Amino acid sequence: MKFKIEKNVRIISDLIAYCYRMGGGDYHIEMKLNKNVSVFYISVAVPKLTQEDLKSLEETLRAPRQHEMEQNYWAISGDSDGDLELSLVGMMIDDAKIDFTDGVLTIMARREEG
Amino acid sequence: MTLSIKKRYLIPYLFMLSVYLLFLVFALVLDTPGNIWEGLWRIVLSRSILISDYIEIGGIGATLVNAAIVGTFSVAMMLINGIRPNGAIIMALWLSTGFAFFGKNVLNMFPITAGVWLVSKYQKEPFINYALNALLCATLSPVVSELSFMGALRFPLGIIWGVLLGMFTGFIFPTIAASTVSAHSGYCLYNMGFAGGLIATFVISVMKSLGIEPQSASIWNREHTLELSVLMYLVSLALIALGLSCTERETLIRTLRSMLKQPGRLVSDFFFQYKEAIYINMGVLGILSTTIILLFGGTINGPTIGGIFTIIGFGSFGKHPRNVLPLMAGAILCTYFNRWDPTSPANTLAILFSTGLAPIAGQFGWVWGVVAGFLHVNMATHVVAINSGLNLYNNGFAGGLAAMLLVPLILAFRRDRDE
Repeated sequence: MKFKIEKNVRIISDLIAYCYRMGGGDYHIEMKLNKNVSVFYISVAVPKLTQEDLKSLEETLRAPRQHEMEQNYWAISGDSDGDLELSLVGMMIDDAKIDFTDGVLTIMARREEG
Repeated sequence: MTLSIKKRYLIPYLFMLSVYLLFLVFALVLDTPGNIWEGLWRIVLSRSILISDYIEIGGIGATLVNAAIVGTFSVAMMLINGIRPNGAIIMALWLSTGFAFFGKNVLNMFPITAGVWLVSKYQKEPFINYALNALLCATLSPVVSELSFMGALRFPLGIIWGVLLGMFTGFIFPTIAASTVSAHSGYCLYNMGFAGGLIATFVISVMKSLGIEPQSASIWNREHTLELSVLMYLVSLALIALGLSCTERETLIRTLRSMLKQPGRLVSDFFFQYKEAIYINMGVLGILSTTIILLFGGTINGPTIGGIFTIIGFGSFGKHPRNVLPLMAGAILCTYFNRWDPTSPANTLAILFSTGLAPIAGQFGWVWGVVAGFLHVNMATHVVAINSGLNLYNNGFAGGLAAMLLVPLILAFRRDRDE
């Protein structure tokens, strides 16, 4: 898959921007990059996150992987100039696990190459 | 009512095939088989450059049959490759069908699609990744027809060069389209048209250097508004009926309200977000755009059907009445200020296709939407000269340029944000 590094950087950028807009602070970010799989962990204190926000986040990030969308539109991911939409991130990852405990939001996103 | 996943994925394709069946019925009611056959030849052998209304060139029957064939091929390509529909694929099928009324035909679509297929092989990636490109690359269809049939090269040299150039443009199209999207940050929904405009500008510059000078056309039918309006309303009503029959009544109003709040910026997959409720949105958009053109004194013909089908298609991928109407209002306003008749072909098409900038109204409010619509008409009526009509989605090129100009200014000077 082409542009692996660029796409991974944009995915993590969009996730950070989302948490930032939700009022997040104290960021812990981890990336594990293998040849065929990239895994992103982000853990952020977001005390004001509502159940509705959480539900919407889960629905968005658990969208089916859509390679044709990624092929055409990946270049606008990471471009959070306005009200951020994570829909493209959802289309570019294969799996997402989301946890919200004691005001700390933890997102694990997994992306397979190819 | 909850649909199974398989049914949900088949409905968009089956509905498109039903529309094509309706086209065939209309064609046989309005025209004779002999006329249709002869008309199809005239369409295939036409230059197909912007604006070439196939209804004027080949007749209403042949045009409907051409659209049905082109559309069926597109649906078959998706089904054979096992491509599940999403908002973008649904949009592309409608857009592709619409442009088969003025520029895309059963001959000129193949070389460019073959070019897209070749690039997928070259990149060693599955064709599914390039499905959208395969459907939307027809923006450059006139490149094939123009070189083949303009008469600058002798038979069969013209056709050979036309096919080769078509394949080349299809080969580079996905790469260019993927990069142009960042230029307007997703505020122009017609990104493929923007990319097509850049490629066509390059192609035309080479052709002119070699002494080949294509001229844009203005072939515009005004005789079938009544029949085609009936067709547009029938298709739109069928969409609304489909949406109502598949959507839970209890949540319908809430779902539609939520959709109307969406800015519509790329990538807004309404099919994923709102499921079958999108058909209601698409149908309403179809009725709205047809009615506006009729009230405005415009004509329903091949090119305007292309515009209306594009609006309907984008009802699954970013457009809804709230973000579309300000654009059309601004565009209509502009047509009364510019030097052309408000119902002239260029103005009429610009009104319909101005809605490609719907995300500007959706994100920044109706005032900026009106401004964007106004600006779009000025751009669209002039940039066609840059590529001599070789880019079928000329309004996408104009819209991309308008968004590049307007969005940074709005972001820099709006007062509702400090960050």
